[in-house]
Amino acid sequence: MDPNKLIHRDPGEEADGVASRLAKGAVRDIVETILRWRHADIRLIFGSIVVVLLVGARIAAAFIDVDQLQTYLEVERTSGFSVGAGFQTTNCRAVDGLLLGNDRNGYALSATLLEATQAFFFPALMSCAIALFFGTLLGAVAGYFRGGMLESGTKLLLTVIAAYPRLILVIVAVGFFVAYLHDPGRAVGMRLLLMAAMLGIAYVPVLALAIYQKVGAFQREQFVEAARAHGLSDTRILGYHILWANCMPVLARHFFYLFGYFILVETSLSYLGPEYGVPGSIPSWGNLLAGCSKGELMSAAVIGPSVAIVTSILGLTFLGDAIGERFERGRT
Amino acid sequence: MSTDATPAYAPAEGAILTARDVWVGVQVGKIIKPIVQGGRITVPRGGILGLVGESGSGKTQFVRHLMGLSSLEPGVFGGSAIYSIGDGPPVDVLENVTQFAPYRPPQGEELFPQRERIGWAWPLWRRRHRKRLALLRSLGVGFIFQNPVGALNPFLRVGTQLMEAVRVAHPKATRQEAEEGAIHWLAQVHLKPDKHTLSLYPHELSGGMAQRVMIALALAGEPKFIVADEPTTGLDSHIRLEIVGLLNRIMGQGNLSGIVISHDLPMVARLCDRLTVMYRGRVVEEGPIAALGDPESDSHPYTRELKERAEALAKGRHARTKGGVEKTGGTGVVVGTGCIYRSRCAIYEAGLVDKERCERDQPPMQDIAEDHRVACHAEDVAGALNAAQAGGDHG
Repeated sequence: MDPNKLIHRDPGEEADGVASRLAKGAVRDIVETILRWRHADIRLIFGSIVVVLLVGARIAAAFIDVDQLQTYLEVERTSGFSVGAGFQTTNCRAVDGLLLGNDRNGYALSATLLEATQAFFFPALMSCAIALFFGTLLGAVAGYFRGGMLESGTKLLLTVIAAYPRLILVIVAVGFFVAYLHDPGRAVGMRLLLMAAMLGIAYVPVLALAIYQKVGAFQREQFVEAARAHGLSDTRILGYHILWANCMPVLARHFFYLFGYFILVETSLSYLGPEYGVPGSIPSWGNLLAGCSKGELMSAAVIGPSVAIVTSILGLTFLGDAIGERFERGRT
Repeated sequence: MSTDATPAYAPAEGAILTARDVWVGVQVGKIIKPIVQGGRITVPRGGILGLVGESGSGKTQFVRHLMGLSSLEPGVFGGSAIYSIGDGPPVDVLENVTQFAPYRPPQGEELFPQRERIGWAWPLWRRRHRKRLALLRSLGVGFIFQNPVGALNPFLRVGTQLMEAVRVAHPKATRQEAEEGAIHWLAQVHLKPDKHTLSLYPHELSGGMAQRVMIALALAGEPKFIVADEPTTGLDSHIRLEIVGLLNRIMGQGNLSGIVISHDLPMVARLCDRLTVMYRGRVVEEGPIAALGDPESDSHPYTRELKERAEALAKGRHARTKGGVEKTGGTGVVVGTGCIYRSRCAIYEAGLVDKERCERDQPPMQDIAEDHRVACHAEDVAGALNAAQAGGDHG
């Protein structure tokens, strides 16, 4: 029996039916999309958005014309600018129409927040590069060539580095550098790079230990033995079969952790004062927070950098976790 | 238990691999347990050797150490393994091991290997050993593993792994050529030769497919010498037959030499030209595969026991051997003086051999036919065994 014969249709109902089916289809699409998103990895989405925002901020920071902004504010000032309610302190008055307010020099805090990404973006990348390169190298060598002087020596070196708390190591190194440099003006960029290098080195034992354990575990796997039996070189087995194919989750995780950790360290040191972190003349999230605590900025201005710091670190950590898990889950 | 301090080994004529007096040990607490005791094999050029023995007899570890594929400590500490692959001079991958190893094989009444020297130079020997093994692999050797899924990198596609193996034989191959090579080897092992198969991950393969990929991987390096370590273990009977047929075809063509390690006697009989039997870390018999075919032929009592058990299993009745001697003595390597098989030996039980000698001396390998040796004190092994079994049946 044809089931269509049981359904009575007339032309008018047919036209209404098309519209209704389209509407139902749209609703169904929306519901399905929501259901799909229910299964989506929120950490991955959130982390990706944060990274896009960070990269976007860093690019935007390169195009911010500070002089033009100041000129605009000067015009406002001469014409008798209005004071925003709740944004006034003894040192600073707020300009209306600026998102997140302004500092005492008249710069918009929103622009300063964007500009502050310059203080950590490339140094954090440099820090990650140093940690990933040396951490992977030392961990892989110690893990693969076990039972010899190479393993003992590498582990000793890592233990010595790890014996110093990371933050203290960075503070000591930067302090040492500042004390011995006669030209403080030239020291600004160098200090950031030194901070990045020291944090990278301080993080090497963490990464090296993770890679050491991973390589050691994989080295006992039969596929490594099989690769050796098939005539592949140790370099190929270690570099491709173990590190590239199997340690990528660890590397991805630590890359994002360290990036976030660098933001935290840079912010903390800058908050402590110009002798530890980024000098006050350079925009930095830590300097903004320090400005708020010293009364140089309006108290409400603390919201912007605080949210930016927390969101960035959270997003990067989430993204590291999500990508690491995706690497592990995707191919097994 | 005899090993000279400076043995002068020579490759057997027409052999691609000659291993003599190989000792392999593993550290257990404070002692070194010898898991291979004076192991010897001869693989003829263009021939396949079957290495059989029950589980725990040390056959896999023996061959793995000959190919440098084991991480046991201290590992091999005595003997010689001379490969004559290619046109170059023979390579002894265990050259001078006796002079450098910190341990020496037990002598006289000693049960375990003894530490002979501090072994400062042992790491240097190992480094040189690794170089020799690398040279050996460059000459063309392949290995088919027992557990194919474990032997494939779980994070790399089948195609990637096959293309790598192709590039071992052809280092200058382009990506396109390597891919074509990989597809060629897929076809050789009766897998669908297309890009879809290349794109699969190991966990997407069935047991039979994984074993075929493993065989393709071993062959892709175009080896002249190949080892198959229990290649059909864990497969169902249908797939097992297919794999044996495939191995038979592959090993039968060209001048491929190799070793098949197994306790599946019918498979060994089908694939191999020669047979070496190991029992608890020792080689007890070596000779042509024809010795397997005839149950009444001259052979070591243990070999005959293996044959009878295989036949009994095939006939579907309980494995009961002639002679009535209790045959369940456990498995694994044992140490001790005298013949280690005597507790299960029908000849010994029937008193057809000098019992004191069996308890005191390790039986030497004696020629019982042309190119056929057994480790037994009995002068006429086959006769004594037949008499013992006849007596046991009547009793």
